[in-house]
Amino acid sequence: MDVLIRKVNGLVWTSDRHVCDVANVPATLIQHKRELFARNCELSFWHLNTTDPTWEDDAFLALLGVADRLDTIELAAVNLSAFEAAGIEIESSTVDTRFPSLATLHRDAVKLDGKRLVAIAELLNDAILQQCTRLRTREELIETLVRGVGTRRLAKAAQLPKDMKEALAGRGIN
Amino acid sequence: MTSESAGDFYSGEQQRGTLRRVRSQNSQPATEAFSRPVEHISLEKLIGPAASAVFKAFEDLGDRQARTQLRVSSRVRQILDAIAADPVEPGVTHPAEPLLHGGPWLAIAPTLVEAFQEHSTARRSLLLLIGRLDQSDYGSPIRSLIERGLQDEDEFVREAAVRATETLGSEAKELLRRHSDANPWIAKYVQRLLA
Repeated sequence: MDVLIRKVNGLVWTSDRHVCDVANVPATLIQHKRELFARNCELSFWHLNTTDPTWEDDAFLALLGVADRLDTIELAAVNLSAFEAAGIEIESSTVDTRFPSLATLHRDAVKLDGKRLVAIAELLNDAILQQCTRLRTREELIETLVRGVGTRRLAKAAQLPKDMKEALAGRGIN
Repeated sequence: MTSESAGDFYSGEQQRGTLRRVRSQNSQPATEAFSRPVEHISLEKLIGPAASAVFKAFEDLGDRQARTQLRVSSRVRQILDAIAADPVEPGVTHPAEPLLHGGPWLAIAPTLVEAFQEHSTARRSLLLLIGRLDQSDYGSPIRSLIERGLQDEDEFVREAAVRATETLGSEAKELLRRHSDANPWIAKYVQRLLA
């Protein structure tokens, strides 16, 4: 199954199912809903295939690859076809990540207006309600990083932010 | 994605759906919710109640030199400024982080939390920042702040306090074992950390 994943910050995910009742909500207003934060009418996601046995590690590594702090991450996954059904355009995009093999998985939902942002909010919220989420604690993320090094998805630990580097050094990986 | 496919997809270990439904029962009508900003805090608003508390805390520091007070004052001001300008988010470095290192400001940090009574975003930000300190260097003031955070009425603040325990070391488990959270999502998160 092809899915799009996005980080949701635990309880901070404040999208409200009621927002679908509000027609033409200005995108700028939705930007204040912290997690649904879009710049230039784009919102980034990662595209993964759940039949790949490493997809979960890939998902967290992808998110860690663009994070600069080693904090607990929760992600939500939405079926790609649900995006297409909602008329949301997805484009491949480039991202500066520390995991080069995952860079090709980056996607942007583009041409977002208020209506489409609301649709995305609904899809993510549905994913949360249906428990299509995964959480990894700080300690579990360190293990994920260790595996990332082991499988060479992370070429150089030195490229990581300080706290990730220190956590790996604690496991004897420099 | 249907519920069935969701079931196949994940083992369904989280209780978050319950939380969301409970929350939505109490939520405001959409138009009202949207007309209200998330929680933008002006520095004046933040400084106002904090100022008297900070001043009192300075008095409590006793005969310490005015120079120290000035340094603390300036540091606190910078921290407040940074938090007011931009709430702290997990995974993202915040400009206030370097300001927390090595400063004597922690002596008055509990007072600051008190002063932030009306500003849950500020309390949450402070706890997220605290979770990024090398806590072995700071000891009991940190622990008491986290402890207080776990008791906060705001679930977002409690979640930040649980996050902060992740870098607390062996003391964390003791704190978390004593913590019973009414919010199922947080309770699950705590269980996960204790496992």
